[in-house]
Amino acid sequence: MTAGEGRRAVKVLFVDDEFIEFRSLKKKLSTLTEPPVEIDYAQSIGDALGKLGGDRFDLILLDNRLLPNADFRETVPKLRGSGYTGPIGVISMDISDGYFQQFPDYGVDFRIGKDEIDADTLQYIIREYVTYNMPDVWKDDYTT
Amino acid sequence: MSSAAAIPFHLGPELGRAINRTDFFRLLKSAAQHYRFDCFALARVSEASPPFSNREIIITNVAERRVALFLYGMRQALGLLKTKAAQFLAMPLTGSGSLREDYPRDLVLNEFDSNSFLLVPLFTPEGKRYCVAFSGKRAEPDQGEVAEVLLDTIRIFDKFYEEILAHEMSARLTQRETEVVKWTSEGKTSADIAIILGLSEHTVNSHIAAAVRKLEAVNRVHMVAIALRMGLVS
Repeated sequence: MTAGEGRRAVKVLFVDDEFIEFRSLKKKLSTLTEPPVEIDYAQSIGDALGKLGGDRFDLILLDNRLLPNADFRETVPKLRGSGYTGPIGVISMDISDGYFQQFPDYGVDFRIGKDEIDADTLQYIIREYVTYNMPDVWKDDYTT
Repeated sequence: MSSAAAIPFHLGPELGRAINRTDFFRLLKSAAQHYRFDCFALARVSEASPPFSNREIIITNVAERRVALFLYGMRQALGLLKTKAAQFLAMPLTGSGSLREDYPRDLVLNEFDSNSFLLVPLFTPEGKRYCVAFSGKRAEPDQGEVAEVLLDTIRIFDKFYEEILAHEMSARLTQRETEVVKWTSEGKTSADIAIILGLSEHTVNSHIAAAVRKLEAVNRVHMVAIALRMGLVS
């Protein structure tokens, strides 16, 4: 976990079956310099699981619908099942379906519309879920 | 043509669906943009340094390293006396920085010095004080616009109270909080519990923070001791 760590680059894994969405995200976030962010891309859940096995990511941004037709209720438990305990945000063109209200039950930390993501918003997400400071008294008292 | 298109995002269905802090970030950001402000900060009103200091900010889109400049700009624009005055209890405050618009950009030390600010006071039913500060490179809002921003902000804050603040004030542990306390009493770390429950460590830590607060404990060990004494875990 990265709570309270310094200013090293925040590693984000973007999972979307459309590569053009990755390029669009990178363009939108090109103005973000604080904190430095490295964005990696996975085209499927299988691809994402492979990357999680070989690298450490501070945040996953996951497209809600991945081919063939899986939504976060199927995909997020797979990511959690791999032992990933970092934050996961589900992004979608449309987050108005009723089942989105259940996102906390499936291990999702937040949901957000694709058109709402910009440098400002990612900065907030990183502050809220990645670099947040936890009071010492809430940390594990018995770890060395 | 449907009239729904005219409803701004922050007053539409997303307001009813908001359940976590990020949802409220989205709503407040939309409200700020709708009224042509660039920045916002939802904060507790401070008794020590009114209206609020860095530590009292709950949700904002101001970058961490710029918050001090934002607060300084706000105090300059609104006037320290006004923000401390009793009238801020009930009335929104507006003001602008003193920097001329044609001042050379490369000489500007604080980008917020030329902004206009609007401070909206808010209250919980228990009388606790909060406020939302909006800031942007725009003219000061007139009375009519201030009234509109006030109404929109109150609607968002009412929902924030219902979904976030009321739960924080409740003394009763939720099912998830009880589960997390139970696993903590079994000697599990946040990372262990996150794997067991299929959640993030951030979520687990939030549940622990809530349980520590609700049980009036000083740390995790104390939390578990209190929970055992109260029979919340066996």
